[in-house]
Amino acid sequence: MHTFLYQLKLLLRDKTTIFWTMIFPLILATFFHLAFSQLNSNEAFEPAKLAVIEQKENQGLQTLLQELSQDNDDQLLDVQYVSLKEAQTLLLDEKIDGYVIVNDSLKLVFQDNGIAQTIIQSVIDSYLQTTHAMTSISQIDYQGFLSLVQEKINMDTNYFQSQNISSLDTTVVYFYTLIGMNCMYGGFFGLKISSLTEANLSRQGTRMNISPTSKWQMILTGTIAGFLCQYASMIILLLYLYFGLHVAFGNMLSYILLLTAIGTYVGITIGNLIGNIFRFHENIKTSILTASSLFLSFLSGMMIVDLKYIIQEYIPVLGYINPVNLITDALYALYYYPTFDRFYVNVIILLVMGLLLSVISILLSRRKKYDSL
Amino acid sequence: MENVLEIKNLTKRYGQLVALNHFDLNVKQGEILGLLGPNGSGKSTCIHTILSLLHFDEGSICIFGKEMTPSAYDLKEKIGVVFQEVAVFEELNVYENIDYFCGLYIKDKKLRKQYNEEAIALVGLKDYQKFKPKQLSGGLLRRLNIACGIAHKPSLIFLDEPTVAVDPQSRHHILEGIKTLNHQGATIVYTSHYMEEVELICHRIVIMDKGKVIAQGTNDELKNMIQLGEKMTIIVEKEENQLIHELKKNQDIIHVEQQNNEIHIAYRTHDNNLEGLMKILTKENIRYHSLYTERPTLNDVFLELTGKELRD
Repeated sequence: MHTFLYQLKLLLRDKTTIFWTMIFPLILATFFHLAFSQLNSNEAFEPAKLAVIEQKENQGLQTLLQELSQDNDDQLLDVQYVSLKEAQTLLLDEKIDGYVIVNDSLKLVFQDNGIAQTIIQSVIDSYLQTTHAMTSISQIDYQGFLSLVQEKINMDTNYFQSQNISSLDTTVVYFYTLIGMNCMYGGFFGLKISSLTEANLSRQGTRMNISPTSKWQMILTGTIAGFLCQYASMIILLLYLYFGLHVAFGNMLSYILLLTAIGTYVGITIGNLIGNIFRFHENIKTSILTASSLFLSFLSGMMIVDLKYIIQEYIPVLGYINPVNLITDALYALYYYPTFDRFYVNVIILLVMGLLLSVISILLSRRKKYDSL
Repeated sequence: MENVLEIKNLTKRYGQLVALNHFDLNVKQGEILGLLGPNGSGKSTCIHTILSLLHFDEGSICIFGKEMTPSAYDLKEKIGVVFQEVAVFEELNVYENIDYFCGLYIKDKKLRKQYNEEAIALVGLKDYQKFKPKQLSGGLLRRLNIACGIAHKPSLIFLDEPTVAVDPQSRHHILEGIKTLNHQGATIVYTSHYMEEVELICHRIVIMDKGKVIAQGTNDELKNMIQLGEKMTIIVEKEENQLIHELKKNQDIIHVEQQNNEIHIAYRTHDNNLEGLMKILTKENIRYHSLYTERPTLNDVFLELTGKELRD
């Protein structure tokens, strides 16, 4: 408890770290709000414009598309049935977001990447998965097929219904990346902890290493202290975003708290790792961490939202190893999707990433003697 | 007296550079041992290696009869270290710094509070308890550094150049504090390149250079190891070649040197040199402004043993 309390005190009194973790995200959020508030008032969510070229009739798909094109608050698609030539012209003129050619299979064609294309892709992927599952089950299990049909009928009633949100807001992605970035800023605390516990990183660390208090205890108490500090700053940011700037989170508070807790943990482990790997001055390490966090946030769409979708389509693995993207995507999944599958995938990857980074940091910290100080 | 620290054949290399070269050292209980050597002679490396912070290539280190390892927490409890560089937290005030480091050793709050207060009194920081380190002068900061290293009342204390860049008042305070700790029962290993400090407080002195022990003993023992017995300097009114000529006939004189109006004489012995010199001065009717004599210093010992100055 003694080491924990003092480590907590040390972290809370570190003005530089507190600025980056607590003040800077609030400033950035305010700038985002100022920049996007005008945009939001002019740009309500537009349903994705889809052209359908029916070379072969598909009753199931027709029903689904009709359901999703109903003119109400939750309208996801704006569908029109055209010829292939017309569709190509519409796409070139950017009057549609994409088109689907319906024959024995479904072929999607896009010109750009973005939220509209992601929605269309998700609808078609989901339709294909469902029909494939139905076909497979019906061949082997009649009762199972009936129950699946029943389940799908129920599901279709709220398919892609948004989570109590009156209208979808594309700019929330920017705020989500900000949350992701703030999680990475937990790295400042991780960095500080590694510096305070390793004899070759600071004189204070040298003093710690000659004391009878074990290194494990120092790292554990330090990590808990760092987590509490960063999570507190995260909650302040969330409160500011929700109550101050009215950013939509889809009434999923407990999930958001879980996600940001894991994200914060990953951030701290990244800072720990940077602290353990590099033998530069602490200021240089801080710069490395800041630059990495901003770069990961950039790749997640903080500056150009479409970059997220480009990476998702062309280099998906980059999205899966980018913790900021995982956090952004999980929040995005909570906001847009009625199921938690995508959210949980992101959370599990994040958790595995955090554990992996912890193991690497622990292995690096295991060296108890140094070659030089 | 029992050895509290035994180092045998310790060798530590940094690539091609041999920092500690088959280094042997014994420290007896209750003594203040001075580890004297020029900058870069391996003193700090020696301390870091003893504390199990650094890998070493050969040799053994035993403290209180047990092998020292990174996880020898029972030994670490009895050791206090004051590093050459100040190792305190800028975010904590004087009292909190001492309390934090003391708390790594002493779990009992009441006892810790008493120890903290005693350490503060020892280094004379009572009026500065609420000060942050950046508000302290260099000397006061060094005192805080010492308090952080010794507050838990260790039996064996390593002080690695604790008076570097310290004002005379703080230096005096620090040296007195070290003597007090020793009187209270602590064994002390004191490294320095200030020979005057080592002469003043150490019971025994180990002189090291290039990672090797080149001589050890008490102050007098070390000075008796060398040819030089006494140094004399005469300030004369003008160049006195006849005096130089007469002095060179004396078999007890190692060398005579004239620099402008100063004549430096080095004697082999330290008995009756003044009497002989006075006779010559009277006989040759030589007028002089002043004359003074000196015992050899540790620098002379180092110079004679290594051919270079201690502060080179």
